[in-house]
Amino acid sequence: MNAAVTWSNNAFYVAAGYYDYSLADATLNGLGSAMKLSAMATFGGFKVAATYEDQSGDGNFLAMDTANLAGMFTMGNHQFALSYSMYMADGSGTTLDVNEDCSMIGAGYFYNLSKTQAVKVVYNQIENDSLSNCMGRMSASSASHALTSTANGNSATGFQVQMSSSF
Amino acid sequence: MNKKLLTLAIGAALASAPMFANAALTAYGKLNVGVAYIDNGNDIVGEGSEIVVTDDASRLGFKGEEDLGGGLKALYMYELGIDVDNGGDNAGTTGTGGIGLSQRDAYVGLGGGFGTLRIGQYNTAYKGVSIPTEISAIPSLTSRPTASRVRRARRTTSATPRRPSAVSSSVLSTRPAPRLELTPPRPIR
Repeated sequence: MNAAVTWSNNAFYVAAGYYDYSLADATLNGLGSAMKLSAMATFGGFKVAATYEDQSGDGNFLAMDTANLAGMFTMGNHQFALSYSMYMADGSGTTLDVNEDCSMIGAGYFYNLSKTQAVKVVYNQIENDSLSNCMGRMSASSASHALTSTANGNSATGFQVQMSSSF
Repeated sequence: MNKKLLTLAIGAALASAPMFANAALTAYGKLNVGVAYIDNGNDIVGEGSEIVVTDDASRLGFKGEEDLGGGLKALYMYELGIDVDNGGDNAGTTGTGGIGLSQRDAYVGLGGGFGTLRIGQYNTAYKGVSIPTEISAIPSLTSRPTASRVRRARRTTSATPRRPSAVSSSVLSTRPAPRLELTPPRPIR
């Protein structure tokens, strides 16, 4: 079962969601629920967005918190973006002795060739603590290649040039 | 005489035609393909970095709606994921199928004063909460790292994934089983 409530006008967007795992899949009964809060504000060419997500644990599954703060500035066909994300997993007292903290920064420049064609240049960097080996993505959607380090504590970096074409 | 009959025939045909608007089919899609240099932080020679062709949720979709009269309309949507870079499915199972297609949102429904009733498989309202706040092409760790971990877990032969939580988290970012859902007529403001 999941539910969401949103509120928006021209300048602001606020939303909250709730997901009950135990009703979604019988095999996931061990994990209770998750909630997510998102907000975005637009001021002229500036856009600032934030998301916070909390997943509860019950002893068999990890409790996880993630947060993201991002901003974008649009000037004509040019767009500049920055993003900072945090990921915290707490496995204390569970069968999973995993406690991880990591963060990721991203910077991007996008040039819109037309309404449907764009070139996007993105740099990402993940910082892991000594116990973590987080994976990220090279783009906001479900990109095919993960940005990952191969060992706990390593930092991973990625640089991508992408062509986006839509119709 | 023949002209008059022909005119009458056309008029009769128009009069007997359903008073419904034609379903307007919209085909849409996008290709997000790039080249990435990824350094995984490993200093071992040959394992430290790679240059890969990347695909970012490329897709092809069809959608439309038809006015049924009386304030009722039928609607539909079918969207396919296109895995440009490895020919597998977009669920992360490289190479399986080999045609590079996977199902994304797919549903049929009815809309009216009662809201929108959809039957099929599509994103949850929960996932939609943060979609408007995602900055284009800039990654976020929110719900993302766990999804990537699911991919890794699926590729291992271990019966017990290292982090079962990753499997759980995948529920948040993937489409659940086909279902029926009623959306209220207007958003709460």
